[in-house]
Amino acid sequence: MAEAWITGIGLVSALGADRETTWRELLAGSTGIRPITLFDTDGFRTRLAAQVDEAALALPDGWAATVPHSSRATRFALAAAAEALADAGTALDGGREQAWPLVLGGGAAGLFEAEAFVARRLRHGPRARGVGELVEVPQDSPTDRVGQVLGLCGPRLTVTTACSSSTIAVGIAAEMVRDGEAEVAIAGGTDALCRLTFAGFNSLRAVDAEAAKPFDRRRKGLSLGEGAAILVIEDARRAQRRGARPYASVLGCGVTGDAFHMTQPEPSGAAWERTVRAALADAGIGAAEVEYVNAHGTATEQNDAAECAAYARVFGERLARLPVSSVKGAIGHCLCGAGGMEAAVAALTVARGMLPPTAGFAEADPACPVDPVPGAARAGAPAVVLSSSFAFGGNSAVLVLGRCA
Amino acid sequence: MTEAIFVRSVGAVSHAGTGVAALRAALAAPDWRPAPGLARPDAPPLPVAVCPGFSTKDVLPPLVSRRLDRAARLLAVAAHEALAPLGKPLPWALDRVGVCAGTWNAGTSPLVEVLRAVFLATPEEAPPAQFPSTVANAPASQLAILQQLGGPNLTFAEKQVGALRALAEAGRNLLHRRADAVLACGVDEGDWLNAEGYARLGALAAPGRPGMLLAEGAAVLALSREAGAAPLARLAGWGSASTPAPPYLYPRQPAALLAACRQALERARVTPAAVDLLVCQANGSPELAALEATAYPCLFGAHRPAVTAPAERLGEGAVAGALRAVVAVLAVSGAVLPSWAPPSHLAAAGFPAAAAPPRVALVAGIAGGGSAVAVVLSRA
Repeated sequence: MAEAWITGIGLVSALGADRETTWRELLAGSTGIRPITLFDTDGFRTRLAAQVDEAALALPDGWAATVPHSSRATRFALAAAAEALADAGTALDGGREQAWPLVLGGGAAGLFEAEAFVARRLRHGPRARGVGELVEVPQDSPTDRVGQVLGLCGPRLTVTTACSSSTIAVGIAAEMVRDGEAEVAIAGGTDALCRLTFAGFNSLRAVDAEAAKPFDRRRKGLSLGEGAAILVIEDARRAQRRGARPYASVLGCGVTGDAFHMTQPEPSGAAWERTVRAALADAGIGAAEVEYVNAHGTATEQNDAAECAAYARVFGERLARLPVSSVKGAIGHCLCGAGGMEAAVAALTVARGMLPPTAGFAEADPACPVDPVPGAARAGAPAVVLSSSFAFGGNSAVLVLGRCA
Repeated sequence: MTEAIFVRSVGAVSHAGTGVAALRAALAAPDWRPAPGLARPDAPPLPVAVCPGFSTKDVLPPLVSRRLDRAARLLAVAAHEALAPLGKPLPWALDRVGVCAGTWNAGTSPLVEVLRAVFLATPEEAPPAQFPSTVANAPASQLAILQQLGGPNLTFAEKQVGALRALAEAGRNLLHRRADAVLACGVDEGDWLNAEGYARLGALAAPGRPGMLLAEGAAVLALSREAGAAPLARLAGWGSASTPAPPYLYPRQPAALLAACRQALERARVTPAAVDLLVCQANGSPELAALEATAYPCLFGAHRPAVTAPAERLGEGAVAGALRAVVAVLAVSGAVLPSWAPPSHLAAAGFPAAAAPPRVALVAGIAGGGSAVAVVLSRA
């Protein structure tokens, strides 16, 4: 079986519209959670979210013109794709490279744009005008757009399993490379803020009026976010041949169903323990080898407690000394884009030997007995890390990343 | 493929009715015609092949049914039918049974209800019970919760080919031993706003204009590596490819559809000449018809397998891919010989109607945006 190396990363978040800005601000303990300007937040429990500064997005010349009526989610994905390909230093020159698989996690897609039509339609009836805003409603639209702009002809998959969508997308793409189905695959995910998710989490009382505080005793819920990550995942032999500089190797992926509840986590941690163990089994490594966990860490009371319970079942007493941090206090919960963005952060952690902190964390919670890397980043050189995502509906996924040999 | 994957059982809810028997009866009647029509609150009906008389009675307790949205109910009923022949308890540990679903529009109706509150009332009035059903993975997740299935739970959004993708990925999960059995499925709900969106984009049939009839329903194929006592068919291969195109258009060139078919046949280790039933996509779209009319003569050369086009009458959608796979399974298992006339664009190219039970069926499709998936189902 081949090794699947991450050789290119593109990252768009509220901390910055590119990988290096996002990483630098993340290590500094900054947060991108601020009052949003995208739509009116009157009547919601919070006015905060991690909104991307669209003006800072860097799209190559001509890309935007290729995709009229493109959504914000698509533009995030395109910017991340451009950065990832440039970072990998592997151009798409046609031929076999055009057959690279493209596997993305898809969520709201063009819903933010379509909501304007829905509002008109509900208020004014069938005479309300609107067509262009509906073009990117299907959840695979950003995937189609990335495939269209890059001219890709390989398998094109869109995983839509809520918050684990792009985690699973990375896992599937890496498996295609490991299985020898492709030398290179492009994977990740994108999601954009919209009124639906803002109202939905608001109605569930799952949002904190302040910025999210993962693993903190005072946590009251999540902060929504948006962004995209695109990873270039490459057969290690190809990467070595061309002298590529890898970030990390995708060692395995575990995917399970909780079969418990649509929105509530299974509180004992047993369900998510199965996911972690499935990932470790797929990677062929033991729990003792894991040296850092990039947690799902949404900052809801139930998620963080159940997640820590799962890790306690897997890591036992070692958990108290194991760095387990969440980036959701910094970049918000980016839903279907979250797993890909967090996989990107986990890969950067492996490559650069720095553990990102949990922004917003200040007071320990006995229900979350982990080392959340408080304050600012900490030096560390984890050889094996986990990136966890636990989604609505119990669609759970964990990636195992490791240092490239 | 080096290892066999078997279709153990199937279940379906479609415009033909609830249950595979209703689907078989419709397929066996050459003159069976749909009676589509999805009501809108303030405008004429739209061309959607909804599921007439659908009910969860005898399958779900009323209190359980009430907390599910329509797409989840449709899938629950189809899965109930597929699971019944496998025995109770199932012959596998429940956390080794997965779900791979494809959907085009699951979650739309609850989405409209949440947005109705936001736009016409206040955000605080958004119904919290509806929001979890707005995620497209809700039907597959609800199915796992209902049946306590703890294996991999995946949902794919790939418009018209979402369920064919789910079938292929179910195969991948079985070959990688992530599960011992997987329910591969497709599900779509009939929702007026969703249908109106496609009508506005000019994709639906209208008086004087050809176009799609949208589908509502759910179909489930239960897959495992073991044959069991009476397997219906083998999932012999799958393939996929894409052609760059905007999300709302079919590509003009058939390259992706051809590549997907060739990969699927290669994986199944059969030649195009061995295919004796093509379950094509033909959904009323002239652009798709042109694509198929170019692709299939190129794929098959002088060979002309029988062809059937269920989506012409049962409607198009992610669920249509799963229904087409069920039709293929029913055909290769000898349960029914599809009697519907071939679509005109393939009949004109010499593709006949089915005259004898097939051994090998090819089910293929391409989505707006250019992603194509094909699967091969053969006699067990």
